[in-house]
Amino acid sequence: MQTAMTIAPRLSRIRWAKLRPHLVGWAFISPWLVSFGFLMVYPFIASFVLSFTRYQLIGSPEFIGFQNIQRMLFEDPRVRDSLRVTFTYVLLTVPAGTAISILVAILLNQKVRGIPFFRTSFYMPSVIGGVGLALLWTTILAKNGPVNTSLAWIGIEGPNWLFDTTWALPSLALKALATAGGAMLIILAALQGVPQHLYEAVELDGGAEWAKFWHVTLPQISPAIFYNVIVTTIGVMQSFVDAFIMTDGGPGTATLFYGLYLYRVAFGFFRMGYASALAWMIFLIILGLTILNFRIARYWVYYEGEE
Amino acid sequence: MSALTYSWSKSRTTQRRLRDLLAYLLLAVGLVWFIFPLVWVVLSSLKTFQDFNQIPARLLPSELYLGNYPRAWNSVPFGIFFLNTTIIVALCVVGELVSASLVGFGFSRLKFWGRNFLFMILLSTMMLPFWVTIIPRFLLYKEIGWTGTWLPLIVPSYFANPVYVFLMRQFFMTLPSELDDAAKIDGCNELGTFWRILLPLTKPALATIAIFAFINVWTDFVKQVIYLSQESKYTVAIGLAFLRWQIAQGDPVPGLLMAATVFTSLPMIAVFFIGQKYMVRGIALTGRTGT
Amino acid sequence: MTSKSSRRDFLKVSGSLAAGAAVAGCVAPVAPTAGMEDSAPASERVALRFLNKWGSGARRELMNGFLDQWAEENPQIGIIFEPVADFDRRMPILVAAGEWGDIMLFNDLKLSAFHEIAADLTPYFEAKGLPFPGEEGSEMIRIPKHVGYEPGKVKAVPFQLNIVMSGINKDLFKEAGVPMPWEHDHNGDKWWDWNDYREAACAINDLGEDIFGSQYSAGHLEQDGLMNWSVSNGGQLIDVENKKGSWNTPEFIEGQNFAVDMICQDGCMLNVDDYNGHGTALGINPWVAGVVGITCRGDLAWAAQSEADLTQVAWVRSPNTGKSAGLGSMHFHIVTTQSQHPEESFDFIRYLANFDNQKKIGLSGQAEPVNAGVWQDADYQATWGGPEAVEARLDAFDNFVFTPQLPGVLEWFGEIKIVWGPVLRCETSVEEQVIVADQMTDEILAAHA
Repeated sequence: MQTAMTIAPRLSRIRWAKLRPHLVGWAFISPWLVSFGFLMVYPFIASFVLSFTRYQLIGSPEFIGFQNIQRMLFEDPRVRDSLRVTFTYVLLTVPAGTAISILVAILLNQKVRGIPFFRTSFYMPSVIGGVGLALLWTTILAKNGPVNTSLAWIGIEGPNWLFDTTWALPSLALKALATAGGAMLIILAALQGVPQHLYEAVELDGGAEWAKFWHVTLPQISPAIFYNVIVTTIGVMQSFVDAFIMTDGGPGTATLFYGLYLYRVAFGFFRMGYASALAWMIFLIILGLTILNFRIARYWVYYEGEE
Repeated sequence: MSALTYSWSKSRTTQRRLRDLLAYLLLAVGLVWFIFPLVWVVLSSLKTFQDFNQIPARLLPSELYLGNYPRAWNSVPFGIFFLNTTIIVALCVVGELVSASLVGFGFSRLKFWGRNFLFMILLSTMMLPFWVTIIPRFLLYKEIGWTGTWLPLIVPSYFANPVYVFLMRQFFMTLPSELDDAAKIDGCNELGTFWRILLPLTKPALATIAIFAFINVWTDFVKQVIYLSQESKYTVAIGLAFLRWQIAQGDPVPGLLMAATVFTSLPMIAVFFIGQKYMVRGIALTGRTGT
Repeated sequence: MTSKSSRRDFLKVSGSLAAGAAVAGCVAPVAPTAGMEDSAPASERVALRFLNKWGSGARRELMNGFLDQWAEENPQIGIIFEPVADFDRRMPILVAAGEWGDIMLFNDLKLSAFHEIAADLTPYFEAKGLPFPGEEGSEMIRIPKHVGYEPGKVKAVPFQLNIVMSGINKDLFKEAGVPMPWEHDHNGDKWWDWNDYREAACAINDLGEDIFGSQYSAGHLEQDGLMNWSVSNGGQLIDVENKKGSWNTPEFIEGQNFAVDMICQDGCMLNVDDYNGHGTALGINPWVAGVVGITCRGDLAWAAQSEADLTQVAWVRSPNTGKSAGLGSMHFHIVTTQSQHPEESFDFIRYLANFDNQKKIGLSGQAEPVNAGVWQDADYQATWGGPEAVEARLDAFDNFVFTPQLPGVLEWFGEIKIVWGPVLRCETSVEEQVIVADQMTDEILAAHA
């Protein structure tokens, strides 16, 4: 604004009047422009450049061409391991999480008593989040913890959940699904926004409950579902805290999420250049997945006003 | 005729009851999954060491043992951690509110070159994985000497988080444009319109952002673990992780950890109960949870 | 150096100002600590940033005691104690962030990786006429050649020692009716061998479902475990001279197979995942020194909590071929090259290694003392075993082998866990996996060369 004022006298009054709203607009959004520049664009480019260097923090970056990329794509077995773990985790959590959040939202949308209580309860784990929730589930899944004790009642000897190569990842997924409350609230909000007259139209046509669900509810909430799929996929691809706190990537590489491996390479092994290459790869993968999601969305997401 | 109606409505009621029963049943299963861990942790925090280590695990403590709480509180300086976290969270919440409302106002009530394009970019940055930026940001903060301080945690919140900008924009859009015109006639410039006329009307949106920001900052472990290095500056989340690693080394007892988990979660639960209605409204407005 | 640091200061100040403009009240908590100020005259009070992992429980209490006494005796040298949470993973970040403080604690492994940030302490030793640790007349035990040393230089002062020993649960030995380690006789050698160890472990394992014969090591997959079983048999993990992995040798394989057979065939040793799941209820612990602690039916801290009878634990030398006895780790304090007060820092880390403080550490069972005098102390011997126990530990210490100082050691250490896991889960054989391990070692050494 200050700059605008000093320039002002040099400009004709008319041009100034034309220019002013734009400058004011830019001034209002300037806080975001600053963070966009310094915390998004700059790091984005810098990590791209760093991808082609060897940088051990002590000393300065050294250009090594495509060595990092070659290692990442062809030589490093941990990249393969961590990608496998991460994709499996996405498959374990995203479809199930979506299904659960839809189911619970629909249940809560019934005119049953105690909705506020249930809504609060289902969202609670998401609120606690972070380290606390991770610790909580570590205890629940302990070898002699409540889960295995309950299983013993029905004659099943439960595994050593978090320390078993087969069960560690499903255990983390089980924990992650307990934070589906956020998605549930979004879908619940969408459900409550479905216009009542659409249901009445189906009723007039003599449609059954499932017809209402299939022809009205699902199309109407599909944008919300789609949004959740996108956001949870991106979130799950970046998982870190659970593995960091609960399993430390183990046993072996059973829960070595891509994020955890990247963290290790950067802040454990001090390979900042290589870690930047890894970061760019996960960015491209997430970008690809998001585009794919949007492509698929054409076939199932219903937008008002479209054909 | 009336008998027919009666039986029809009766069968309909039975059907309805059955359906409700099924709904309750499914909800109960979900509750065990979602809420039982919380109940378990509270009960475990009240157990003695012997109770805790009993095989098979026992649900209820044999006696109500409160000793884990003071011991957990004193095992690492949680008092300082709570104070630190409160300061960080408070400063961040203020920052998010100021910057998101300014930028949100800009994107919703003002017309300027590149507005829609920039807003598209803002939306797309929400999808950017944080791993891409984390290393250069770390190097940047290191270069300007901010690592080891709270600045990397606090300062960015003064430069507009896209999620909250989006929320504010959505809220501003619901306000009638006549307000701006009236303000203009009264001689208000844009800042005046923003500050005097519109901002007071956005209190619910501000409350929503405050709550989301509170919870997000309180639980933002990754940044805290990367940037903080001195105990005097640690946060509650790091304190909790600290305890967890001590236990991995066999130092304190698990009961302490459970107690610490309980009291470190209390602020979030309290804020959630106080601000639940704002959170739900914010979600309905934007279709996202603000995380 | 000067221009760089002044530029950094400028950036720091301008950054703080910019932040301060936006965040009133934000500047106060980040004001530089006293330790960052310019060197002050001796008469003025200085403050040293001291980074150490003894941040909770009994260790915190000990440390607080040391600090209180220091404050009383040296009011002009303040210590800002900064316990580092999650030491093993946080230390690298601290180094990366340039948050070195004045004094840092490192174990031998981390010091290998970060020796560049350690100041040369030789002048201070010389100025005070002190012999290097371990040399004649020094009250400190010797520190390894690879660590903290460059030729003719000493860069670290020892603080804490963990020797690999076997902590045995005498009660369980009696209950199982097996002879104690010192009750054997192999052609005049009155000590158990690996076969005796195995028999004892299996007999104890049969006592009950929640009693285990033995465990692989304290951290199970960590280098100490590997080393303990293989290096005792004459094997090595790295051929330091040729900078190559040396897992694939008959000695290494034989030593490892002995342990792995106990896990996979006899079932007398905890499987790695069971170990991580349980962490308690162990019969024999081939590692000992108070960090992970005594193994009765729980380690030291658990034992203390459950009020177990600590006298049932005996500390004994591991059975071995005599080529190399115990292994373990040593923790050192370094003065960082960032420190503006290296001399005061040096005094403080020497203070932590003095007789009184090390005796307290030794008696508490939190670690073995690094002060030679404590080993001869009557109180210490009375609590932690008579002359023969002390003898056994000194014996182990004499054969102390340290991780070689090689670049990339942190990454290598991280990979060991992953590479060796399948062997200890009985998913693959030692013979097959040593080839993979050698490859992994070579690659990492080459990448960091």
